[in-house]
Amino acid sequence: MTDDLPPELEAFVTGLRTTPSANAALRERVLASARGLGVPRRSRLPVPRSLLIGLAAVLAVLVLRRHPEGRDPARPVPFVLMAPKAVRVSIVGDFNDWDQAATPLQRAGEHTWWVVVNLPPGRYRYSFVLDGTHWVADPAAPRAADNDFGAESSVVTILGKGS
Amino acid sequence: MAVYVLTACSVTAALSAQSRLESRVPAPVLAAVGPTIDSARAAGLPTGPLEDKVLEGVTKQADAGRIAAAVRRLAGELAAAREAFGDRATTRELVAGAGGLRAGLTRGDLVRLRAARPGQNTALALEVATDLITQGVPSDTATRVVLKVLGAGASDADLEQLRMAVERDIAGGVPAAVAASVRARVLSGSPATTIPITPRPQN
Repeated sequence: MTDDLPPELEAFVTGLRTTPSANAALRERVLASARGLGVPRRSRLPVPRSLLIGLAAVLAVLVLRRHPEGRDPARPVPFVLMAPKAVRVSIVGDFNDWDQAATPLQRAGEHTWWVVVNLPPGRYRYSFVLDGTHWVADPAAPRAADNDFGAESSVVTILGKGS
Repeated sequence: MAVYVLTACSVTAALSAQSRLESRVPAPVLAAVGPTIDSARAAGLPTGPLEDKVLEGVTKQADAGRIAAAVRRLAGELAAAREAFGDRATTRELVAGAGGLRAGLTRGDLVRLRAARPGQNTALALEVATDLITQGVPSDTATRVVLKVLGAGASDADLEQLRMAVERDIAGGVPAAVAASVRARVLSGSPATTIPITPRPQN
């Protein structure tokens, strides 16, 4: 291992590899102090175990709710709309809490707007919003059966891996 | 442990619903929809779809009364779907059933479609039937063609293929009911039939 080292370095490395001998008196004093402290074998938390189990369950549920399709990951789904007169376009739906600010589309050329959204397998209702006021269902997707608020929505279905 | 998990589920569901709605929904709307959502939760119905409906209404600037009415209607449809499917139905199946009822399927249709895929998730079958109806296929025809392809052992991918093929045919001028029937016949392995094409009127 140290064959290639110059002799002065070899002595240094050998020194580093040697376990230093402890001062016997010092070692005994340290051990005696540790025994005197009565160090517990196991630390105890000042909360009942049942509460910890409950908290763990809450955390597990939160994680599962956040990633309900953990076995089948999200996949990129493109959405495209021709809207030559729009200044800004966004997509709202069940996948982004119908939040107009959450998913803006990008312009591609003069007429086309697009965005790619990662969606886990499932079925989602959605709509495009042009300039914050004008609602447009996706002409390339089926219409949602419900139209409770006077502006049609579309649906997109993402199949799972095993489908 | 089971008690903890169940308690954790209900607590986290209530908390997340609260935070999801409270950050976006005006107080009058929250007051109007709260009782319906609480009742649905107490009845064991999924509240996520109801919250989505609230958020949709708020984004579409509907008033509190209209949003509350839409949420009540959806809650009723979810309850009807659960009656048809039983307590073991998944949230997606219940939502699909509710959508089917809204589109024109009957409770009997829901039961038959569910029974056609015993032990499996029937959400996509219901969704495809609903999509066919919204594309103009009569509801009894939609149920019949979906049952036909399910009877032939169709997978989810086959069902999705049926939906897309019918959509293409309709866009190409084929009457909706004809497109659905012919595509179902092809997918279920029956002898193929030529689809009569009717040119769409040019505007």
